Amino acid sequence: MKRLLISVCALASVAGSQSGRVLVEVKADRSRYFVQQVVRVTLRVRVERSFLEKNLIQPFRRELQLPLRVDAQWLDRLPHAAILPTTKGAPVLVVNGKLATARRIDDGTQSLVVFELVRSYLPERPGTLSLAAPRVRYSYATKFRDDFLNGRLPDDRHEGDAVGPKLELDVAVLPDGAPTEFTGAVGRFTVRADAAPRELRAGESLKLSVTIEGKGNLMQFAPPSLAELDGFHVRGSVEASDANQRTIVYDLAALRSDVHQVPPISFAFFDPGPPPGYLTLHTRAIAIKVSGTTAAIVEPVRSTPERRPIAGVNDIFGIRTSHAAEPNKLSVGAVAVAITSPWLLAVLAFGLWRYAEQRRRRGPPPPDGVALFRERAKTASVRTAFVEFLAARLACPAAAVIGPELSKRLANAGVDNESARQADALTGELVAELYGGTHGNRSTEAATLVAKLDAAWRETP
Amino acid sequence: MIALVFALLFAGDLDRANRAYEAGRWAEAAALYRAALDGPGSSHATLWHNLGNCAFRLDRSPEAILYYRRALHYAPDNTQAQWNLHLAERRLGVTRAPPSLPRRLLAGIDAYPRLALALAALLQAAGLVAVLRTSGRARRLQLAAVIAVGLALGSRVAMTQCFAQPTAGVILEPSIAVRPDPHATLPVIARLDAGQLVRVEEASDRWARITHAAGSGWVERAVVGLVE
Repeated sequence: MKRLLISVCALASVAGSQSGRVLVEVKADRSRYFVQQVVRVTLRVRVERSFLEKNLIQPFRRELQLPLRVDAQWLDRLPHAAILPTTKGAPVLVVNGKLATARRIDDGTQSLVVFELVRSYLPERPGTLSLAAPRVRYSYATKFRDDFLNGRLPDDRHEGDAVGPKLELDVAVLPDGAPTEFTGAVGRFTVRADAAPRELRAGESLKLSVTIEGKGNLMQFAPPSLAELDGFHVRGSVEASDANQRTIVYDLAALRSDVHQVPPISFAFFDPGPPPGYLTLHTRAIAIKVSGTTAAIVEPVRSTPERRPIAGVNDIFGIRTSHAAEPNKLSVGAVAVAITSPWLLAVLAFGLWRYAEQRRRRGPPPPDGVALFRERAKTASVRTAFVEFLAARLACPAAAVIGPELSKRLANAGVDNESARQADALTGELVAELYGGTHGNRSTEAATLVAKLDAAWRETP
Repeated sequence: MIALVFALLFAGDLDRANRAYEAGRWAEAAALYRAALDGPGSSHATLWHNLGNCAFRLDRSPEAILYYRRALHYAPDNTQAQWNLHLAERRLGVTRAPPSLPRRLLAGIDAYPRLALALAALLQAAGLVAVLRTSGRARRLQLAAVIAVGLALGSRVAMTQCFAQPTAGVILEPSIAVRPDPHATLPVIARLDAGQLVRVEEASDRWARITHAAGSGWVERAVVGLVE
């Protein structure tokens, strides 16, 4: 199954005038781990090739292949996690004030020199592994002079640095439900077994090699227990290991001649996944031939081999020394407020919404009719202004205002009967003026009536 | 000034306790942690956790279970105490059925009451505003369900935070007799093993009324350690 790698990676911000010429990157293969699961963290530094070759200055008298100083304490020590041994690389640089080696990476670009420092950790307790932001410091110059004795010397020495991102990784405890064969292996493994010699006499011993291969806490868990292997007695065991393989050679004494095989050896481990879960593997049975009997064979007392205690796997976590404040219980008032406030807020919101809805339905407020009338009367006749005012209020064309039932229509539109009658009469008189009726300045009367009608309409919902 | 002197005194106790523990002197460490429990400025969750560790190392698993449970009472999300409790229970052969999903949900709510309360308020507010604005019957029913969830969440938090809950207890000795009434002469209706978790309904100096899946009845008060 293809392992899903969750990369937590970010390019660093770069300080100084040489911005962008040195970049720092930190990444882990996941963001969430289990106790005893190997955490592999890579600190990668990219340096512009021309900058490295032409501008960087050696920090000390001793010449470094990479004249950089890396400050990241977690490369040497990480609280609540053990650091696994690392392989040495070629380029030499300074890490946390000491000479160290890094690994050169070929990422296919000619313009950049890339190297990385890799650390593997075994988390010892659940919680958060905090990796502080790493800092890479360097000295550089832009002007050099040639010295007869000392060679190329910088004329203007500058200090620069680049800061990488910090990383926080979650560590969880192993889930319940570990099989009985589980001895603390966390990772992804395979197991195989071999035995020699295959033919022996009862009482003699054979060498059973159990090889566990894979990636995980290979050296941390207890080897599979063979105490319950029927017909055999474990006289002892020796181990050999390398980076990806651990071989346990058991000295097995065959107790009886009716033993025909070395039964399958069970090996259980926790696979962090995804999906995470316990797995139990079995080696194949190995056929053997045991001949004869030896009277002197006495069934040995079985003893369970001592298991290496691993906190979080087969042992308790240690004492706690932090004294974080304990959360207080919530007060009755806080709970009451939290429960009632949504209802109050909802009622308030509903009220506001209803109000807004009503306003929306009512449309925009009518314009000030009196002002409109006066404005119109300046450019047109009083009659035109008055008729247009009524038309606007009755929502009909100006030509449709004048009619036999004007007072009734006005009354229906919310005007009291007296004002409706006055408006009807005034309209009639103003129209009569047009056709040679009585003359006179009716603007004041019309303005008064407009104010009255406008007020009446404004009060009407 | 007196408080400072007390704090320094008890801080010294803690340091000594930690050193004793690291040196493998579990009994001495336990006594010092106990002394620190009465002192100011120390986290009870930490001290009970460490007392649980001492009891575990001294092979007093029922006590260890009680102390880890006390630690978890103060800090429910202490995963280390959860693991240690699991190991102590496994050592005693106490089996706990994996909690059902509703129980896990309730435990989550109890562990993070502030978050649960905020979520309850949010669900209610959002649901209420939406239900007042919507018109469809089916949609209103869905929103009512959201509000009900918010109310249920809030009620759970109110219940656990504002009202007294039945006290949990841990059986400290093996094969404890449960009787129908608080009298030693009455017949035994059930037996409980050390490390079992029970609910203590009421307690006097001599007897405690407990509830457990194996039965409900009275046990001697001295054999039940109260978690709270």
